[in-house]
Amino acid sequence: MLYLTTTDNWAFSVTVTVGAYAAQTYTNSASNNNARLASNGLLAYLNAAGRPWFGVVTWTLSSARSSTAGTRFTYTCGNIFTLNAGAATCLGLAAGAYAGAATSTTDAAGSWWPKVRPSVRSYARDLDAGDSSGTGATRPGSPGAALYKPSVEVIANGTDAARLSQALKTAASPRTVSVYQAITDSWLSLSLGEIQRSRQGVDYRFNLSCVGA
Amino acid sequence: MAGAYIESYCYSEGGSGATVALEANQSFATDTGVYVRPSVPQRFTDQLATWKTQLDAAIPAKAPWVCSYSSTTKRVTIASAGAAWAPALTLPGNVAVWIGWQSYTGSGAPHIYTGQYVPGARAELIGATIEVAEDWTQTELAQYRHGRANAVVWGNHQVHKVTLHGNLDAYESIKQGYLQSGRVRIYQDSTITTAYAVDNLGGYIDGYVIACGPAVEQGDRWWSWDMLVGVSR
Repeated sequence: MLYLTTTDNWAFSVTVTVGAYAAQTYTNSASNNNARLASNGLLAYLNAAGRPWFGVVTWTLSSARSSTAGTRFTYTCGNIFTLNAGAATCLGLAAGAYAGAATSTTDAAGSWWPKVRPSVRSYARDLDAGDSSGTGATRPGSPGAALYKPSVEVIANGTDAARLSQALKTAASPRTVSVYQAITDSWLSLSLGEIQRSRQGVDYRFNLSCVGA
Repeated sequence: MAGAYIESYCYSEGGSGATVALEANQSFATDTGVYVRPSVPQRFTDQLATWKTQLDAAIPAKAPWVCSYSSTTKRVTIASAGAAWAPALTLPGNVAVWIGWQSYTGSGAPHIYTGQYVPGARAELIGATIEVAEDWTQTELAQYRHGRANAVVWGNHQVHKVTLHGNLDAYESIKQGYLQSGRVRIYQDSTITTAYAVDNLGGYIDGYVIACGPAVEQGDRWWSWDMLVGVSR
């Protein structure tokens, strides 16, 4: 899956009330500016020692692909709780009273979860070609500070392709993206440049021009 | 899937009920000097509804007026109530082509007018292939020292690659040009009356024609047109 930084207001506040405990309000840091960072920020807050239910109620977070190829989060605590609408736009969590778990009713902002996992390869430093002579060669840049240039490819169906276009509508500029690399079980934060789309029968192939730090 | 069609939006300079004819495809007049026109650009069928509303208001003695289009006969009909009074319609500019009439300014005509031709503003299609929207963005991926990069992006629309398939009637409509330029709405399926969205890929698209290729003859009385339609995001 893939999470874009978007122009939404990521400094949102959401108020959570668990059972008879006092209401708690989480304010997301504006630097947590994609759905992955914000959802994890909320989870950490809900399980932090400062919460009145700490030690009694434990929250867990899971995510799943929606029918429109976005991400739906589920927060579970096993107790009755309520949410206000503060996280509706960014995380898709609607205001309401919940019995044990709350699942996003709309796709999280900037999320893209194609059916086939994105291929992220060659996350390695890349130096341009330089000059050479009979006695040696000079390549531009510093090997230790050169850019990471992974290859990011996705095979997508029609719904996946439509969802990416929808998510890109609100992508922030400069455009950055958080991509999951399965082989290293890690998230890569990348600058997302040109996106090339080509038809592959009834599906699409996406080549994402990405550069990371 | 049934009933694909494309409609164009009419031109409008704004204002309604004016008493001067505009050399455009937005208005027509009766012999009583009443001009009817939408005050904003409107889709062909909406424009017909506006004409009817304005005629009903301007000439209530002959209301209810009829301004309609039949997707079966592919003709526009304009009529006033009562056979005793026959309005002679003046069609300034290209209105005649727009609605598929011969330009007519005479009198003594019957009170029901039905177009002789297919309108230039709408075409019934054999089918329409609309590709999933593609984000249309200019991108500058700037790379800096110490491993830093910024992808600056800007843009304001999405694009759909579209292929229209039509028979001779569609060919006659589309060749007039109104469906190949400006703002259009394309229904892939007339039973789906909601707009294209990620959860409604069969919905209609409503946007501006960025490019349109020539008619390509596919077979006996079957033509196709490749188009690029931009939709504001």
